[in-house]
Amino acid sequence: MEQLGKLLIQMIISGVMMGFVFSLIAMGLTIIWGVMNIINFAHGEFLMIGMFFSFFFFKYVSIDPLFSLPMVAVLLFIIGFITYHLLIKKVLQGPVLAQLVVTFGLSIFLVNLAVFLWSADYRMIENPIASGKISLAGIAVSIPELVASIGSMIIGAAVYWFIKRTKTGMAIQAISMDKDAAAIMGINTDRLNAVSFAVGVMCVGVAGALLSNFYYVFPEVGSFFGVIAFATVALGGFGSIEGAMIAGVIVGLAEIVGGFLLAPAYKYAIVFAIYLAVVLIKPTGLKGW
Amino acid sequence: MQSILQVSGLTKKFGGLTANDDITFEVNRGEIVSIIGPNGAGKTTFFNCLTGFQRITSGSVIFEGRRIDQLSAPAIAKLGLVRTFQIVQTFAGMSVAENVIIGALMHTRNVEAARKRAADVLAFTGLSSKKDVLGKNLTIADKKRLEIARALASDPKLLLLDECVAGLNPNEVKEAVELLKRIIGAGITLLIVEHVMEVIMPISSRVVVLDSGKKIAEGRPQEIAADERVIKAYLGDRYDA
Amino acid sequence: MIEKRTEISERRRTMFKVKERVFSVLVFTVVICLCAVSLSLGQEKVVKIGAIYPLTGNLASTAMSSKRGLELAADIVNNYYDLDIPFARTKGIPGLNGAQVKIIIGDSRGDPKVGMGEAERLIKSEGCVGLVGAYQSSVTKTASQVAERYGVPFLNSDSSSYALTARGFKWYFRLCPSNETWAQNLVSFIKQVEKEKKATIKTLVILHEDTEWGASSADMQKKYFTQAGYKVLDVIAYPAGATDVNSEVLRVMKAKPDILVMNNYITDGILYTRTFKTLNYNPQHFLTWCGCSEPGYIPAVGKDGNYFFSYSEFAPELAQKRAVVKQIMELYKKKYGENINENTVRAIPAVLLMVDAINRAKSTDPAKMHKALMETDIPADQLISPWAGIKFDPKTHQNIYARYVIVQILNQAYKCVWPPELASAKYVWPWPEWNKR
Ligand SMILES: Nc1ncnc2c1ncn2[C@@H]1O[C@H](COP(=O)(O)OP(=O)(O)OP(=O)(O)O)[C@@H](O)[C@H]1O
Ligand SMILES: [Mg+2]
Repeated sequence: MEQLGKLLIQMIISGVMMGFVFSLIAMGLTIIWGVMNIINFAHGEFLMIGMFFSFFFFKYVSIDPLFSLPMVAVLLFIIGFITYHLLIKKVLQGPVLAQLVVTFGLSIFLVNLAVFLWSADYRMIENPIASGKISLAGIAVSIPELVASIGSMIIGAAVYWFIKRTKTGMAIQAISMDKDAAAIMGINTDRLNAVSFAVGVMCVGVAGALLSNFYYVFPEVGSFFGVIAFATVALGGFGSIEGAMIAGVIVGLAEIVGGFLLAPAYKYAIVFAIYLAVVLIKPTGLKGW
Repeated sequence: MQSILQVSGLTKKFGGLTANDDITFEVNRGEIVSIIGPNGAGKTTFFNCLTGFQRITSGSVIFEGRRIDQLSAPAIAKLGLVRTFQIVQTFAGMSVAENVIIGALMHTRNVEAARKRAADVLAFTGLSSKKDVLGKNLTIADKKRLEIARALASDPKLLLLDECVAGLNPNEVKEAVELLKRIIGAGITLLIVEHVMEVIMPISSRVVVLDSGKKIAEGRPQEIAADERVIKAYLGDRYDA
Repeated sequence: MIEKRTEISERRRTMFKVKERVFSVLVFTVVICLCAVSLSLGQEKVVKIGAIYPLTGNLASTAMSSKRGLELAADIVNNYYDLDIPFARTKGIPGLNGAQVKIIIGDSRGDPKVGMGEAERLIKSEGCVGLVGAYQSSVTKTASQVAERYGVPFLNSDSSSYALTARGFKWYFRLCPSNETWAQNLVSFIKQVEKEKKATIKTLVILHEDTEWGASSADMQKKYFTQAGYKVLDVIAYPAGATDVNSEVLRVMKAKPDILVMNNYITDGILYTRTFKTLNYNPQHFLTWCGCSEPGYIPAVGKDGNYFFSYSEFAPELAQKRAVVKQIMELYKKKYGENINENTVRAIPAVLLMVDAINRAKSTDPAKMHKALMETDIPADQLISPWAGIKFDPKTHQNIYARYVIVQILNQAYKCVWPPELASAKYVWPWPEWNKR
């Protein structure tokens, strides 16, 4: 009994830690969806790019992922901005199908580009500053995971502050809730689209950089995180930042605790079941409007 | 009196349907002009054309001496021509205060200043007690009130209200009229679309009547109420001025 | 109205364009086919063997290794090489007037449907006398159905799903071991450990990713370990490509088995290694299958990969025991400038056996080749694979001498530890605990 209690605490800690990373990834996706009504299928691939940048900073210029984080954030912001202007902007006025296809195509393109440039190999950052673990009364906390979750929390909070407390952020929120009403409040959608896309890409890129401390880096790494991010956003409510934050933690917990109590094979099915349950009671997700 | 808005020959076609047909009139600073007309007369379309939500087919719109019919909706709003929607569009996931702050942010980057201005507007519109309620949780009456508050916070020079008392009960209508009177008292120029005659007749300085997209009459409320064509097209025997 | 008409004519025009294009593609294909036919009529003494591999897609680099194996085998047959292996010191196939062998490759893209189409093409349009391939069990399954339908031999030396031989096909032969063989090999190894290390091993947990491959491998392991008197405490399936495996490991820890038997890919393999270490999980030992043997595993986990047991289908140690293995390894290195790998080694025997069957049958007549294949009995010393020979079960057509070798990662290198006659290092048992290393 005591052992089971320990296992549970262990799981809750691990689940919450992973959950914060999921939250940050989902925040990026939900901002992009909210503002542009575009499902960014390439979201996971931007995570992959963040991971690779972090890996290259470590490998070629010996900068630890923790210190290269701001640079990775800036680079991903720029990449997001450019992607918006080269690609997304062109299809926003077009048919919905074009919007679906463009991010889907981008995702395939980025994976293949990564395979071409960097090969399909698995890479790992060896002995980053954040490594090892803390053991307390039989509970193990992996330091890189802890760092990733605290990092995600900090960046998540910063983005949250930006969205809630700055003029640009509030305008982004306004657009995602009602585009017409935003227009009569003088909010220029075109300009903010680019900013939102860049911020969304930056969020997921930073999550990638944090993950690279303990997760292997390879071109297809984004696909699975991408799928989880969609479930998280749907659970939290499309477009809702708070929803994404809360849902991330729920998904992290459900995956680990649910996987343990029922069966690991069904852990993602459990996440999905929770989503269905929430949507049945509240069709807009936890925090949607 | 100085004119703030000059509409000339405004025409809007949707395929074969002419929703606004060669409409010409002016609004002077400080005036309260009402637009009336039966359902489908083209009133909302007219507002959409003025505020940049729809491109006009021909004609011109001049606001404060500047041609605005080719500008985007946000650009027109920034010039001080702000509207409300017939079907309310508040920011559902934001609190009442945040909704109004968005309006107040139109002319400042300073969120704190906007918050102060929002507090003033909330007090002015009687929404202070509900400032933390989410937009989606308000009653229809309060949503309409919030839309007006949000528009007021942006400090408009000309405010366009599209049926701001439709769907309210008599008590709520009375409150809404009170609010309108306070807005007029504050010296804001108004262009109102409304069906409820009891509301517009006492406050309007002029009334414009649309029918099937055409302007069929224009004049002081009493003149309009007596106009044969208007009575035939719209009023019937419902209202006796 | 005018708009509409232009739209329609526009559509008609694009439709016409599409038709035109389809037509020109057709013409082109017919011309190519005619050329191919006339070419093949011109050269009589060429025997074509079709090979199906996932040359594009995420297994492309693996398939590249296989392709080199095929080329190398054909080269050995066609030209003179001073190697201790049949067909090396002759040119072409002696039993067929020195006919040359040509490998025609079809790209399956890893897709069972595409693989099926390619099999059809190789047999029907290319006139291949037999097929080899197709790497993924799922593709082998469909491609060998086509071979079965047309009645040409399909020699498979790199798909492990036990279900393939269970179908009882007439024309399908598997040279390589299956996941059933792996389960049997593991049980033999554990029996040996019990004897040599005086270890008490009674219980195990089987962990597997939840695709067909992982599930069927786990089934086999459960069957053979249970038959041998071990207690399977739990069989845990988990989603392939999971982002986190805490719940899986915690479940295993709760069950407390003596050994943990794993069926995983490289990505989850890396994740498990990290999680075992973080949670300080130390059973008597880990037996893994696949993931830890992939080339990327050791570079990714470094020292933490030490001591895991895994499998291999190639033991470089064989070089010390069989001259031919050493010779081929050197030849390969000279030709391609890198060390031969498992996937290359796996591809070679299928081609050589096909040639051997034609040679013995003195014909490419399918019935005669079939008879020759059924009579195959090649001793171990003619092989570069660590199998004990090649001889097919008369019913299932599984090579009954096929086996895996068990390796242990020691000092970040794979060392063969089983079967005993190939072992090149002493294995470490029990598992050294994480915090005592
Ligand atoms: N986007 C559009 N496309 C096509 N027709 C439209 C469009 N918007 C409005 N219309 C048509 O234009 C006419 C005028 O509509 P409008 O909404 O302006 O009327 P209204 O005077 O505001 O009516 P109500 O009193 O019901 O609000 C109607 O016949 C309507 O169907
Ligand atoms: Mg209307």
